[in-house]
Amino acid sequence: MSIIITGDGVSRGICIGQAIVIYKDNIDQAPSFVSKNQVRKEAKKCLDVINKLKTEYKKSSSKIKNNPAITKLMNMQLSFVDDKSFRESVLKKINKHQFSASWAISSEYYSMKKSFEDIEDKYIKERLIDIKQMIISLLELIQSRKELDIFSNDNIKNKIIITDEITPKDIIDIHHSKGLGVITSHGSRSSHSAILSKSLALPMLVKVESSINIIKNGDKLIMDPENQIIIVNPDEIELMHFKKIQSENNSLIKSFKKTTNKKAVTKDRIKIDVMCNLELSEEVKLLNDSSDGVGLFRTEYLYMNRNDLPTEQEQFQAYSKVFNKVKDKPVTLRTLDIGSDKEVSENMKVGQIVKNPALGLRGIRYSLYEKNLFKVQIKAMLRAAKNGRLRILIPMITTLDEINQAKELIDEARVELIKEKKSFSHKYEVGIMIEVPASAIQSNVLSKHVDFMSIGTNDLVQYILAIDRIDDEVTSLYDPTNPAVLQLIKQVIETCDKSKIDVTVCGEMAGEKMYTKLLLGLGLTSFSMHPQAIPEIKNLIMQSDTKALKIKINAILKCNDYQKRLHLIESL
Amino acid sequence: MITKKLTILNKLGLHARAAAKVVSIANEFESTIIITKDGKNADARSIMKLLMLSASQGSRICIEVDGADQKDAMKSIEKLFNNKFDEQK
Repeated sequence: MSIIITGDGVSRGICIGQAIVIYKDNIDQAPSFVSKNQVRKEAKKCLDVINKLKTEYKKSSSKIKNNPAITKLMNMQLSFVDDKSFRESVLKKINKHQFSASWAISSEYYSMKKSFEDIEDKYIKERLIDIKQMIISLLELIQSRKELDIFSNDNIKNKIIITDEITPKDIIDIHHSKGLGVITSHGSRSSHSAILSKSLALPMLVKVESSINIIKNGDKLIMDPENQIIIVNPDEIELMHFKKIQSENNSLIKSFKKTTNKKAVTKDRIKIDVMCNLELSEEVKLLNDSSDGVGLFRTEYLYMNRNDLPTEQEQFQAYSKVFNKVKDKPVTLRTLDIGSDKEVSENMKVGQIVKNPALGLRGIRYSLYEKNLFKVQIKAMLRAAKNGRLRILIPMITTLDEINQAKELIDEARVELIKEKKSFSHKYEVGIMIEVPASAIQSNVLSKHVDFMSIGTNDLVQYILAIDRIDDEVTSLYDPTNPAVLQLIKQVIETCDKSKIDVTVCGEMAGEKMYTKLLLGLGLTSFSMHPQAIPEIKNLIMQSDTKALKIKINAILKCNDYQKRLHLIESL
Repeated sequence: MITKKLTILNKLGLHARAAAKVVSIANEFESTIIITKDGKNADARSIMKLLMLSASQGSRICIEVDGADQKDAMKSIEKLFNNKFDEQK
C-alpha cells in the first residue's frame, strides 16, 4: 500500500524513481568482536587509522600559512585525534575485551556522548560535534571508504537520494552523478544547498522528518516538491496520474521557452531586466538569450570541494567562460562570501568560537581580513572582463569604511596587474549587496559611493527578523513579506531611483512567482534569479501593470495580519 | 606530589582551545598532571577529559602534579590558567 509523507518542497519538478538511503553520520555500529589471535592486528589497525587521520590534519593545516586562527583550529583538532585517554580506552576495549576496531571506536564515542550530555556549558557541549566528525572520519578510514565522496559514485545514478543533511558540495556531487532528486530529514528551503539544487534543477524536499522511518532502500517513490509530498510505493493509478502531470509540465516548460526570447515588458510598457544567478561556471551552458545578463555569480563554489585555494589563472578561466557566453550583457561577479551555511574547504574556516557564523567573519569582513585572497580574485575578474561589462559586487557591506577599503584593494590589484604587464579591463562598476539592515537604512549615504546595489533578500530577511533560516525550530517564522522587510526594500529601491543607480533583487524572492508582482509594486525594475525560473517569471511580468500594482501595495505594507497579507499578495 | 587550587578566570571557561593549550603544555613534562573539579578527574594530556570537566568561568579546580619535573610543570600550568590561556577574554 502506498504511504504519503510531507515535507518542505525546494526545487520543482516531479520525479519518479527508486530510493537510495545514505545516512552520513552513521556511527551506529553493531557490536562486533574479533578472535584472540586477531587482537593484535585489530589494535594495529586502530592505531594506523588514528595516525593516518593525524597526518591528514597536519597536511591540510600546513597548506595554509600566516593564518593564526586556522593554525589554532587545526591544532585543536589535532589534539582530539591525538587524545591519550581516547586512544588508551579504545585500545583497552580491543586488547582486553576483543572489540573490533570500529566497535571499540563507536562505543567509546557513545560513552563520551553520555558524559557530554550532562555538561551545561553550551559551547563546550558543542565540541561533541568535532569529536563526532573525528569518529566518523576514523570509521570511514577503517572501512577504507574514501572520505567525503559518498555522493559521487554510480550507485546514485537515476536514484532518489534519502539522507539526513546535505551540503552544497553534496548537491554538486549528486548533480554530477546524475541523481534524480533529494529528500532530507533536516535542513531548510533557504539554505545554500537548497538554492543550489534550484539552480541545478535538482528536485528536492527538505524537513521530511518521517523519511528516516518510512523510506527504505529500493522503495519506489514519487516526489512532488511543489505540492510538498512524497508517495512511497505508489499504486498504478497514482503512478499514471503523476506521469501524466510530469509530461504536461514538460510541455508547459517548452511553451514558456517560446516566450522567453521576448523582452520582459509590462503592460504599462516598463522594461524589466531579468537576469540570472549562477553558482558554477559550468552552468553557463544553461544560459540563452532569455536573460539580460548575469545578476549574480556566486564565486564561493570555486573555493569549495578542495584543500587548496583557486589560483588567479584558474579563476580567470572560470570567469572568462561567463564573459564569453554573455558577450555584451552585464556580468555581476560577487566577491567571495564564505561563512554562515556555506561550507568551504577546511583550510578556509577562520576562527573557532563561531556560535553564530551569520554574524561572524563572512563576506567583505573575511576579504578585508584575507586581503591577498581578495586581490587575487579581483585581478582574475578584471582580466576576464577584458572585452566584457564587469560589475564587481561586494557582499555583507555594513559601513562606508568597508566600501572605501574594498575600493582601495581593487586599486591595488590594478596597480599589480599593470606591473605584471597583464591586460585587463579598466572599465568596471563596483556595487554592494544590501543584506545587512544597517546598509539598507543607510542606503542614501552609501548610494553616493557605489555604482549599483543588489538586495540579497535571504540574508536581509534573516537579519531584520533575527531568524536563523537553517534552524529548524524557527524557520517557519522566516517571512519575507513582513512589513518591516517590505518597507526597507521599498526604501532601498526608492533611494537608488533618486540616486540614479541600478538596484536588483537577487535573493530567492526574485525567482519565486508569488513575490513577482509584490516586487514590481515596490518599484523594482531588475530581477536576478536562477535560470530555471526565468521563463515563468518573465511571463508573469508581461501580464503585470506596475501602475496598478503600486496603488495596491500600500495596503500590503500596512497589513500586520500574516494571513490577510498573504491573501492580499496572492490577489495582486 | 604538589597540589594547587585555582579559579578559572577567563570568560569562556576551560573551552576547547584552552584545553588544547593545557594538553600541549602538559606534554612538555614528564610528570603526571591531573586536574580535578567537583570530584571529577581529568588527565591534563587528554583534551576530551578536560572538556568533560565542564569548567566554566568561576569554577574552582585542583591541579595535582607528580613526577621529576613537577615544580616546573606546576609553574607552567599555573601560569597558563592565570594568564587566561593567553587570550584576551
